[in-house]
Amino acid sequence: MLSTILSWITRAILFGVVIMFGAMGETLTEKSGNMNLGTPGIMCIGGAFGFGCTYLYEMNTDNPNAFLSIAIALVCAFVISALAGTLFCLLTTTLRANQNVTGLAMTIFGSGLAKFFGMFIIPSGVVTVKAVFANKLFTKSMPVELGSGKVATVIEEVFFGHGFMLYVAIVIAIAMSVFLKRTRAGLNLRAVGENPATADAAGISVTKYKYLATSVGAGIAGLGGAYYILDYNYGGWSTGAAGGIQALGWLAVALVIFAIWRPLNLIWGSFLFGLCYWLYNYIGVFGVRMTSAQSALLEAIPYLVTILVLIISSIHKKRENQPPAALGLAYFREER
Amino acid sequence: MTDSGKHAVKEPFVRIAKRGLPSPALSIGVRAASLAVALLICSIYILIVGRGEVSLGNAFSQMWNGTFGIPGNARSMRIMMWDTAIYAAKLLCVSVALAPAFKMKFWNIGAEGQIVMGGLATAIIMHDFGDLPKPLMLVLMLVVCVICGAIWGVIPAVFKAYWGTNETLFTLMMNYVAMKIMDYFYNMWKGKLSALPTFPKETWFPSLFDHSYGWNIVIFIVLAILMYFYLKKTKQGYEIAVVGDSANTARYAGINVRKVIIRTMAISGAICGLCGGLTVAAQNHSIAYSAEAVHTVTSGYGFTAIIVAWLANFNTLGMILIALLIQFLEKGTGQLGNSFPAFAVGAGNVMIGIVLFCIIGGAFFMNYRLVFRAKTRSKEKEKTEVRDSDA
Repeated sequence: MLSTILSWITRAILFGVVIMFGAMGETLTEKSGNMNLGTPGIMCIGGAFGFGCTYLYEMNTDNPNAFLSIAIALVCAFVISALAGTLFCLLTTTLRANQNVTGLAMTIFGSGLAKFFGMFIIPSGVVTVKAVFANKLFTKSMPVELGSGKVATVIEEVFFGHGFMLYVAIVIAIAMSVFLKRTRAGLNLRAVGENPATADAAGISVTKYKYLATSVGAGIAGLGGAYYILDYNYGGWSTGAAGGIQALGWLAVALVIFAIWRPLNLIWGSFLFGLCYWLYNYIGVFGVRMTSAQSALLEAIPYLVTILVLIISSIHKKRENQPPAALGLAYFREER
Repeated sequence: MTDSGKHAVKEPFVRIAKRGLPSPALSIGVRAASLAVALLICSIYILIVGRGEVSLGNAFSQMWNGTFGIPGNARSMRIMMWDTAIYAAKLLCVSVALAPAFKMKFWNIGAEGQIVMGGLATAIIMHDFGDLPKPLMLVLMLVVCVICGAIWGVIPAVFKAYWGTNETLFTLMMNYVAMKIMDYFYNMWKGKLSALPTFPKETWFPSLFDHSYGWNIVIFIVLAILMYFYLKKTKQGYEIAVVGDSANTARYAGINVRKVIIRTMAISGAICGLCGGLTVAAQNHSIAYSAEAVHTVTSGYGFTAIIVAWLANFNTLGMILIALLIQFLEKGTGQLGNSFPAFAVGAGNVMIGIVLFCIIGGAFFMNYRLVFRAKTRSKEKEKTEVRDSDA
């Protein structure tokens, strides 16, 4: 019983980290007024390139270095994804294209690019390749020993039994919250997302903030893709993995709404989504028996809860719970 | 020009100015130029990926063959063209469904879910009411798919109309709820089988032109024509345009904005639902698990159609052309992948992405023009000279 619940929590946390990265990137992007529906595609890109680069590194070195292996995966995932974000921003901010249309095109492009790049790495005739060395590094749990009691084991498993990316994600979420709430640059960014015309009049460079937020946001989302392959998916890449990332990418977009655009809410929200997602596998814990057909309905819960949050926050009309006012709108200075 | 000295701020090298409505010639020119750039980038991509072993001529002729069949080979041409026609017609139908919503500035990105609900409703009739008299069953199938699609479209519309709930995010989430509901039925009907078999032949939609999906093509095209007149020539179509331009103006003119929003989304959802229903009844004769990409009810067109409708600027003729272009890219790159293993996985979507980015980015030059510094000066100078001569 206890071990079942523990394994449920562990899976939920692993799952949560993937969508937390995606949702953090999307939150930062949306704070600048850009709604990047390309996030699922960008996460695919991050996954393919993060995995691919570190895989090529460990295959072509006799004694791969642990630090380099991690750094190559994260830097490649971040940089390539950030470039995709820059492309999105070029089209929507400079060329003022519609954001929904551009985002969806980005998702098509991103999943294609990921599969294509992945295929280049996989030797022909093989379905799945594994980055064994990097996988070990990413899944290595924290070196914390709390003795042998039952409580100690539980605490150890739940809080320290995960790879380092979980803690990186939480640190980024807290840093992002402080950045948005307590710094001048964060205030400026929010102003750009709420009312770009006013921000522009106050001397804030709307274009600069949009570019930076969208690119960095896409980079962070890309890290989620890399984490998906190197930890959640046991270090293995196959063409189907891109589809898996894309499905989680849409959940990440949902999570942003669920967290009402606040990075701190993303932390617990992502784990809650994880628990919901894996509920079908562990519902026996509650003494409920379900067929595999019924469990499909359970998978709809995160989306339904997100819809509910969206409805409640729009009926309540509390100002601090609303989406950024200029979300999805292109800004043109001469248009009033 | 003593004025220019007084300006403290230096004029930027290039600035952006808004154009009026683009002329047809300009629109066509910009689109052609965007496509030319896309073709160029795709050619470079093909050359790099093919490592010199795939010539451009060969690659593009493969893509042509994959879409329209091998020229001269009547059988291959007939098969390929029918296949292209049904998918293009389906994409056209969903785009047409989205057009009124987009014209109203209601971002319905829930077409995917609306198609799924329509398809599912029809599937339930085919699965559980197969013993009804055939004409009654056919009518029932059409009615329920239209109703279910409309319901899925109206739910977000009601919340948008009364509480201003963000419709983009709402409709997006509704997609996944719909897919999970379909997964539920899929798994339940499948039972212990490895995949869901097709429904019994007695429940299929009648075929036309020797193709089971013949009626689909006809109905989809008729819908496109009707929608053209609905948007251009009717009072309701005019109301949609006014609400889209400014909800306040519409209210001032005595238009019931809430009613228009809900009615328009009912129409949008109903057409999507009909598309899903017809696909299940006449083409697929089954539903597929949402995680399996091939032969799903939607073919992913709920999302693709958003791009088509937007790029065509709600123009039905434009939608036909863009739907055909997307078909050419999808099927053509599929054929390319069959012929050359380097293009087997993902290359198709990469090329679709490149073409879409070029067209999306190119649209900028239809709505805006670049004004360079030197040019403006000389223009101003001309103006002042003209004024001087007038005096």
